[in-house]
Amino acid sequence: MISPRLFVCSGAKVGQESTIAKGRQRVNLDSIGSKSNVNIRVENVTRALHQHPHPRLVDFLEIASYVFTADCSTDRGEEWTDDDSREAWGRDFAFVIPVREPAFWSSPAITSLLTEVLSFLSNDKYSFTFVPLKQDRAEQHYFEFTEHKGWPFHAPERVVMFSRGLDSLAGAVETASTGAHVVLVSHRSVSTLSSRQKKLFDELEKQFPDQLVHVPIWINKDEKFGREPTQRTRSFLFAALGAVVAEPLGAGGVRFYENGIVSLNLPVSEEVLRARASRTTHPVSLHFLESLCSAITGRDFAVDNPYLFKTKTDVVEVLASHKAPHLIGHTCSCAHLMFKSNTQKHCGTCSQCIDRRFAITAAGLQEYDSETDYVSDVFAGPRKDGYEKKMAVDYALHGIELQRRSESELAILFNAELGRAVRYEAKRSDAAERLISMHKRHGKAVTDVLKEKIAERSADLAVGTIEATSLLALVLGKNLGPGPLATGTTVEAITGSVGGSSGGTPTQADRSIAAAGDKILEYVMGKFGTQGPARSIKRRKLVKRDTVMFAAIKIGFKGPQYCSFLHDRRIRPKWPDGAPVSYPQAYKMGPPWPKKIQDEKTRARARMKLYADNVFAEALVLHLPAEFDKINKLINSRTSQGASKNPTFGEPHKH
Amino acid sequence: MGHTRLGEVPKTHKWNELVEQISGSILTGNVATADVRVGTIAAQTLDATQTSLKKAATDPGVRYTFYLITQVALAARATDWERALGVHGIRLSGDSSVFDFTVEMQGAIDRYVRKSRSGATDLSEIAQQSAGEAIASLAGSRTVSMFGGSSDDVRNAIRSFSTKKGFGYLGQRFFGRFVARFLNFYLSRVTAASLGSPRLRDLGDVAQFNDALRVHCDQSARIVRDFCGEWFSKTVYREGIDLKNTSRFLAVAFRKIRSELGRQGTEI
Repeated sequence: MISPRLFVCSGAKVGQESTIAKGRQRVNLDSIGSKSNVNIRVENVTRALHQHPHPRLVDFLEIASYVFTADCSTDRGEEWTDDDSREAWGRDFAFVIPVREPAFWSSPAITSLLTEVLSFLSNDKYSFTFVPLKQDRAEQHYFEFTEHKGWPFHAPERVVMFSRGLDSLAGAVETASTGAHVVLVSHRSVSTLSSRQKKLFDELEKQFPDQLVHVPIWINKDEKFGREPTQRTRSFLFAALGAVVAEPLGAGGVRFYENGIVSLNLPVSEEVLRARASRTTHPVSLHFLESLCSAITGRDFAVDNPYLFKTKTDVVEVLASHKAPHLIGHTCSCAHLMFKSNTQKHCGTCSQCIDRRFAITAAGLQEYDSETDYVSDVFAGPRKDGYEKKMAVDYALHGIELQRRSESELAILFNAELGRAVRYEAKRSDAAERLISMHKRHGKAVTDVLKEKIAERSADLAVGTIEATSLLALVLGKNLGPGPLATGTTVEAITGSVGGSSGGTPTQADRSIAAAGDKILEYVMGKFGTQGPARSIKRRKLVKRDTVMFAAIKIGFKGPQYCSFLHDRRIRPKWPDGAPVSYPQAYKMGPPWPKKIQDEKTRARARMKLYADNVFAEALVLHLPAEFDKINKLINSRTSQGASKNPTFGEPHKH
Repeated sequence: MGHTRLGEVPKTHKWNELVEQISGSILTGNVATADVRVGTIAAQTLDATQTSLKKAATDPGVRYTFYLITQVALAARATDWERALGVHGIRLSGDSSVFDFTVEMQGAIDRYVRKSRSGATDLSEIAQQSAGEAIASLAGSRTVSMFGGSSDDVRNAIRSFSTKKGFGYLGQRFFGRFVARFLNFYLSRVTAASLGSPRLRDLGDVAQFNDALRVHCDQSARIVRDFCGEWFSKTVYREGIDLKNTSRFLAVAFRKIRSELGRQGTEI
C-alpha cells in the first residue's frame, strides 16, 4: 500500500508537527506564483460571461484541479498485502486548501458531499481542511478573455462537456441539429490532444456555422510528478469546469454525453470490483455531482447524461442519422492519452479502441473509420501478454455472456451494479429493464461483429496466418488452422465435414473453413452455460389449475370461451366467500368480475413463461390426458403461420 | 471515457503453481470440464488467499450485509412489514417488485458501508453482490416476475426465508456465491491471461471454467445450509441477532466452507 499523502495547496501553512501531517507524505501544490506546479487556464472566455466568476466557483475550480492532480500523480501501487491476498488499490489523501469561502466549504454537508462523490469515483479516502485564502491571490490569472460581438449563447439548456470522442460529438451534433446554440467545454492536458480536439471542433463548426462556441480549459501538472493512469476523479474535474462556464451563462447545468454501457461499466470480469471499472458518468456519480453543483451555485443545477440508455452502436448511429458520419474519422477514443503517433490516433489494443471498433462495425460505418488509423488492428493485430490480451478476452467473453443470458439472469448476476444504477430513477424496475435490454443489444452487437470478422478473416484462419495473439485467434482458440494442436480432425469434429488445412491445399482449407466459420464460433459459444447454475426456467411440476389455465391461454380462448374451458375442467375461482363460485357465472355478472378474471389470466400468462415446453407437455399428459392430443395439436398449429384464429376446440359453456 | 483496470496475481511460488494448474503447460486436458481440476484449483486458491478470507468475518461491510439479510427475513414475519423494513432504511411501495426490494437493500448496505470506518472494501463489495444475487435468484423464483408484482408478493417470497429451512437455503446460496466470486476475483486474472494454453483452448473454455467454479462453490456451500438455518432459528429465539453474533457466526461459516473446499480438493 502506498503511504498516506497530505497535499498542502496554494501556499497554506501546515507545520510538520501538525496532527494532520502525522504519518503522511507531504506534497505541496500551487497553481499561481513562482512555485506553481498545477496549471489552470480557461481559454476563450468571452466578456459576455462575467469577468470575475463567483469566488465559490473559483474555489471549486482550484479544489478540483488539486484533487485531479493528486489523483493523477499518486501511484496506486502493484504490491499485494495480507500474505499476498489483498491487492493495492485505494489510497488515503488529506488536503489543506485555502479558499475564498471557508465557511461554505467547511460545512459538514459540503465536506460530506465532496468525500462521498470522490470516494465513489475513486475508492480513495479523502479528508479536507479548508482555511481562509490570502487576499492577494489573483484568480483572474486563470481566465483568458476575448471579445465576442452579438453573443447569442446566453442561458442554454446545458453546457456540453466535449472530449474528442464519439459520444460527446454525437451529443453536440444531435443538439446542434435542433438549431440550438451549443456551448462546448473541454478539458485539455497535453498539446497533442489539444490540436486533435481543435481539428474536430473546426470540422463540427463547418457543419453548424455560428451555432457553436468552444471553451477549452487547460488543467495539467508539473512533469516531475508521477503518472497514475486510472484518473478516476476526471468527472469531478469536468463538473467543475462545466460549472465555471455554465453558471455565469445562466445555463441549466452541465451535460455529459456517454453511452450507457460505459456509463454503468458493468464488470467485464470478476476481478473488476468497485471503481476498477471507472464510474466517470455513473448515475450515482452524476447524482452526487448534481447535488454538489446545486449547493455551490445555490440553485437547481442539473448534471445529466441523455445517452444512459444508448449503446455505443446506438450513439454511432446518431451521427449517421444526423448526416455527420464523416466526422467519425476526426474523433479519437483511445485511452492512451499520451499516445505519440502523429499519423495514427488509435493504439487498437485498449478497451476504448476495442469498443469503438466493435460499435462502428456493428453500425456498418467502417468506411468512416480507417483501419490505417489504428497502430494495431483491433481484431487481427498482435496483443502483448497482460492487459492487452486480457482486455480482448474479457471484452468478448462479457459481450457473449450478455447476449446469451436471460434478462432475469442479468438482473441476478449484476444485481448490486444495476441496483445502484437505478437508485435515483422514479421507476426503478422499468429503468432496470431498459438497462438490461440495452446490455443485451450490446451483447448481440459484439457477437454479430465477431461472426462477421471471423467470416472476413476465414482465409487467414484457414492457412494459419492469423496472428496467434489477436482477438479473433484468442476467441476461437486452437480449433482452427494448422497450429500444433489443430488438425483437420478437430474441424471435422466440430463442423461434421472434412476440413482444416491438415492434408489439404490452402485453397481447399480456405473454402472449408470459410463455410465452417460460423459453426466454429457456435462451437465455442456452445460451451457457454453448459455447466451453469439452474436457469430461470422452472423444472418443478405444474399443478392442474395452472395447466388448464395455460392450455386455455395457449389455445387462445378469450372471455366466455376461456371461462367455460376452465369450468368444464373443474377449475373454480379462489375468491373470498360471497363471490361467484364459477368463472362463467362471474363473467356473466359483470364488473368487477371480468376484470378480476382478466387480471388472473394476465398473471397466469406471466407464470407460463417460467415453464419449459416439455414441462407443460408432461403436465398436459398428467392433468388433461384425454385431451392431450387435441390440445397439443392445436397449440402446435397455432404457432404456425396461418393458424386458425377461431379454435373449434371447446365450445362456450351454455348457461 | 470508460476504463477498466485489470491486474495480475502476485508473483509468488504458490501462485505460479496455480497458474501452472490452470494453463497446463506440462499436462494437457481441459481445465473446465474436469471436476478434478476445478476442485483442486479452488482449494489451492483458498490456501493462497486464506488471510484475506479470514478477514471477511470481521469486515464491517460483510458483517452488515449478512446481518441485513437476517433482518429482512425477520421483517417479513412482522405484523407491519414495511415499518419493520423502514428501521433499516428500506422503503417499499405497494407495487414494489423483487428487483425494487433488492435496490433498496443495496442502498441500505451502501449507506452503512459509506459511514463505516473502513469504508467499502473488495470483500464488502463481494458480499453485497452475493447478497443481491442470493435474494434476487431465490425470491425471484417465488414470484411471477422479477420486475413486477406487489409488495405483498415480495413479502411472501422473503417470508419463506424466515424459517429454519428457508434461511438455510438462502445462507447456502449467499455463501456459495460469495466464495465463487471471491475465488474468481483472483482466478479470472489467470484464466483470461492463460487463454490459448493447452487447458484453456478457446473462449468457451473460460466460460465453462467460470460456470464449473460457480457450481462447485454452490455445492460446497451445502455444508453450511443446516448450520445457517439452525443458527438463525436458535439465535432469533434466544438472544436476537445482532452485528456481534453475526460476526461470530460468519467466522465459523467461512471456516466450514474453507475446510470443505479444502477436503474436496484433496479428496479428488
